[in-house]
Amino acid sequence: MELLWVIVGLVGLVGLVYVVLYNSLIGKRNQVENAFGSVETNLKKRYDLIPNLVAAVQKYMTYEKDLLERIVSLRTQAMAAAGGTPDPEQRFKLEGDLSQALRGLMINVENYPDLKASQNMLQLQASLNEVEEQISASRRFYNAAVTDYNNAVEMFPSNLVAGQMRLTRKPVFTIPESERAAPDLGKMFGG
Amino acid sequence: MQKSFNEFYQAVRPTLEQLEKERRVALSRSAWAVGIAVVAGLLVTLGIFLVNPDNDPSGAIFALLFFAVAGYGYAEWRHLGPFRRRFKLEVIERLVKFVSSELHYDPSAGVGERAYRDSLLFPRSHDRFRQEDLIAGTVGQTRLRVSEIHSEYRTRDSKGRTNWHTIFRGLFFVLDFPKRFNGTTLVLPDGTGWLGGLGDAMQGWDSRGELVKLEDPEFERLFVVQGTDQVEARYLLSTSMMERIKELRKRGPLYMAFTGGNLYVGISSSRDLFEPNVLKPLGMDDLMAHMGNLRQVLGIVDELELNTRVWRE
Repeated sequence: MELLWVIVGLVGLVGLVYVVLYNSLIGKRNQVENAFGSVETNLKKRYDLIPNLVAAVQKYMTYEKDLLERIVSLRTQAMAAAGGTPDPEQRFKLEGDLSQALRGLMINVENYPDLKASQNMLQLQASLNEVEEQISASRRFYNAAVTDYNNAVEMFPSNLVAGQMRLTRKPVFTIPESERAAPDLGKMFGG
Repeated sequence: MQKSFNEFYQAVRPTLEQLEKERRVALSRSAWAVGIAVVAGLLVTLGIFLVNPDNDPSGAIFALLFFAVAGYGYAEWRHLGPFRRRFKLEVIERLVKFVSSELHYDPSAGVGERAYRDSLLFPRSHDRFRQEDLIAGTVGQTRLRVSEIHSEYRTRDSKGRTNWHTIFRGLFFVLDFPKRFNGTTLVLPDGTGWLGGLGDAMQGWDSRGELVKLEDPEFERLFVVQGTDQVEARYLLSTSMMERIKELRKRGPLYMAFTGGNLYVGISSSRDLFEPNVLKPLGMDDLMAHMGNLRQVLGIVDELELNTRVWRE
């Protein structure tokens, strides 16, 4: 009889632990989705800004047609990727390339004093700075949520529950090495 | 700069010399007051012993101490306090104006209990709140208000004795922040580091917002960040901002709150700034030292790069 109670107790305990782990994994997965949503919102702000930016610089920048075309095409690709649901890694890479191209554009603006001084351009630069800061903030939130989630998926004992729930690792949103080495926009245009 | 400081010194020199005279008078009168009180104390204890030689000698020591403290209290109220106030009004005020005409100084005012409460940094309610040395105005494009504050709460022990405990003592700033935000983000000293995961769980229970885990391990070791918005917290605490905060932390335990559109910063310190040393002659050294302190206080605007405004829309 006693043995029976012990078994019932153990089964109950295991069940309880399972419920706790299950809920915590769901919570972490939802946190990742929530963070991804905030990344998307800010990326969308950048998509909206790019046409204005391109229109503003087009008149002046006669020698950087390739760069401008590349930016427009990257934006189109990134938006298409956002519309469908391909693997996030591919998408993050596109966004990274876009960030890099935009930074390249901003550096080129330095070569056109008239353009650089125009009120419209100053405003666009400030907006772009703002959006880039927000993207960076939401990207960091996303990465923190993903790290938390990945830890839970891989660590014992929650990995057992995760395996049974078919949860797998999610990629973090990294920025290309060359972009990190690029000069700080804030420093360049701030002062 | 050095030259203009010299000019400033020449300009305040007559005032300093006048104050130096007042200091000597205040000091000698204070010494007299304490001396007379001690002698009176001695006479009283002597009298008690003459009347009743069996008295407990610890009572005599206590009486002597009481007279000495009373004498010092009188000296402080009548001579030293007024001298300090005169010094602040005559010298510190001019020093602040010399550093920037955009600033003003009030030795008896502070940032206010309202700002202290609005910052949400110190949820424990206080029973005593003292403040002094308000400096207010603008540095560059940043509006700033700063003062020394000291907030305390009271407890009574089983014997009915009252004890005062400090909640916060130090410099308290109210500043403009160049980025726009709607929620609340708090950066508090991490007091639970050694508890590890348990500490994280406990930090999660605070009602002022959820725990924000940042990727900088050193920053995480020094601070706990709580916020109402995970993305906004990271927007405000950019990687470069975290570096600046770690640098500022070297001045003392640091409390920061981004809330209600303002940045509140508390730097713990038991130092009392802008007070003259009554025991030493006043001179250029004092002026330089106060100048250094003032520059350090105002330096927060540059240290946190609050005048960089590239995020305007």
